[in-house]
Amino acid sequence: MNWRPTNTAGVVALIAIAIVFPLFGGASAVTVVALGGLYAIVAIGLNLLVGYTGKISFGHNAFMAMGAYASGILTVRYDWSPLSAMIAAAVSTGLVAFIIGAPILRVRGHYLAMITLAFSQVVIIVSTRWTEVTGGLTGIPGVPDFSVFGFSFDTKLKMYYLIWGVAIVLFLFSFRIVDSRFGRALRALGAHETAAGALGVDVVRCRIQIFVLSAVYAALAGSLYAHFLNYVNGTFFDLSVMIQLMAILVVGGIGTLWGPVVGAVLLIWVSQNLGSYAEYSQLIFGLLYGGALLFLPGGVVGEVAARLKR
Amino acid sequence: MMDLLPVLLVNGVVFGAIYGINAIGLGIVYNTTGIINFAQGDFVMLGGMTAAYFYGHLGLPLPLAIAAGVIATVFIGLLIERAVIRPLWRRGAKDWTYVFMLFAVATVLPNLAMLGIGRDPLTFPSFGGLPSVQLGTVTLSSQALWVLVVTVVVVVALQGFFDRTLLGKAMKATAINRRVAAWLGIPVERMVAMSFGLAALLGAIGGVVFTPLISTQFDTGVAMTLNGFAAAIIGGMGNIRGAIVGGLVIGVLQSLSTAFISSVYGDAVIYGVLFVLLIIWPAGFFRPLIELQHEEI
Repeated sequence: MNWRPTNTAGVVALIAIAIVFPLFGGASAVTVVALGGLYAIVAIGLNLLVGYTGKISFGHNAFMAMGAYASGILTVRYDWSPLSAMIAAAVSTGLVAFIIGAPILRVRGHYLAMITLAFSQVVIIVSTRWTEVTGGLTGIPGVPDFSVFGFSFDTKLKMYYLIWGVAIVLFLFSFRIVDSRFGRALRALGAHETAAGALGVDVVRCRIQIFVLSAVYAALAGSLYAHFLNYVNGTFFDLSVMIQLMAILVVGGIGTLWGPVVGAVLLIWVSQNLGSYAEYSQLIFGLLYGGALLFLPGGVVGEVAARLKR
Repeated sequence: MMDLLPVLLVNGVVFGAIYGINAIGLGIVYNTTGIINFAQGDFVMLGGMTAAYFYGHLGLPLPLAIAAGVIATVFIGLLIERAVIRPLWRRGAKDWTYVFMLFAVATVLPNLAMLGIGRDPLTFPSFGGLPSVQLGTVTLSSQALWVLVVTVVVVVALQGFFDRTLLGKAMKATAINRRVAAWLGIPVERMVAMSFGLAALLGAIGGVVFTPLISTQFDTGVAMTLNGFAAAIIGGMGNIRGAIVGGLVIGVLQSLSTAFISSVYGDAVIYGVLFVLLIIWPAGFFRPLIELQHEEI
């Protein structure tokens, strides 16, 4: 697992591609890649969680939903500015993640996976049925365009740049985390939990911090999603979103820094081009990442990296 | 509302028995492998769906259709172990890989069931052969009695299997210490396969006895897995009698919360209980069958 930020050239290339892509891609391609950026944001956070702590969350679709609903409700009903709503969304989701994670992450084994699965089921149930607050199945229409300091991101193209801007900032931030004291502690944690604990790493605290951080990433993505579509609906964030996120992680490559970004663009492109096979999308994604676990353990990025080294 | 209480309690016990059987299945796989089987609930779904398919579409006689449904589900359970778990096992994959893989299985199975069998909830007639029983003001239907009888038979049979047969003891030994078991000549891989087969069998039995009560649909697996897990947490992972007690607690809680708190949020209450339980007794209220000695995979 190479976590060291040695590839400045790669980052520059990513930024360049993100900037020039809309010049070549059509409007629909821009929308698809913008969606890919949203998923990349969530996947970057999840990748930190799984790659470093070996813990899995099946609740990040719910964290996205919370971010989206918080933004939608605060901007539409209470006339908050999009930025302050987004901050509130991130903070409140982080708090919820802390409340879930703090007790559960003390326990060994994969209880986090089960409890987050239960949590996401609850969020989906509540979001589609608590009509007074979430609008029920109708959702919340009329979410305003994202704007900050008087500048409005009022076209899909502007939103594309905003989303990828945020994605790249968070991506670089994950580089920073990896190379910080915290990151070294996490790396030790991933390598051998008991040894890390013996060396003075507060194992539980690290796990909780990274879980909360990954939930905040998901909330930010959800919030951007609400402004991107100008609409929030609970069905946007059901279990199939989690399945897509899993597929993105595994196919892209868990434990590689580039995996989530590559996986997100790749799989969102696939999901948008299923056409008449859309009905089979869950099946396709399930088979895709089950197959990747068996035959491509390092994901696309891990495989390419291994080939390049040879 | 209060005069409904006896009915609710009986309903809760009947459904709770299924959750208990499911919890035993989860516990068996967890003990031999350290894996939490996210597809356990889908075995319940498959048992019910395939039996309904054999009965409704292929027109097999009911007993034959039920047997065929159980056999098909066990076959699928064994196939899953062989095709996707064993390669990871041999590769020495990290523990989260299994969680991802079983989540993939839990994604693929319901979708295959939906495409192969159908979207609609399916059911088949009650088994018959047992009388319905009058308990005070509540009538226990014949099928509900079947559920309870089958649960008791399953528990007794499993206790006997683990305590008295060589195979059962070998599985238990594998659960206690995999490496020592291997040194003693126990084929550990086969024990892992057995545990998946047994888990599928239990799920399928639960599915076929429960389906005539209401129905089964392709997407019931997730809730079944979560309810079974909640029961297993209360009962202690792998503790057979504890699992049944846990199942009954969850079943009754669900039945009462659906009636008295909210019909919409009944499941949400169970997941809330599960969460609180994990905080208070992470190892379960009852002692687990085996305190896991080995690293969890």
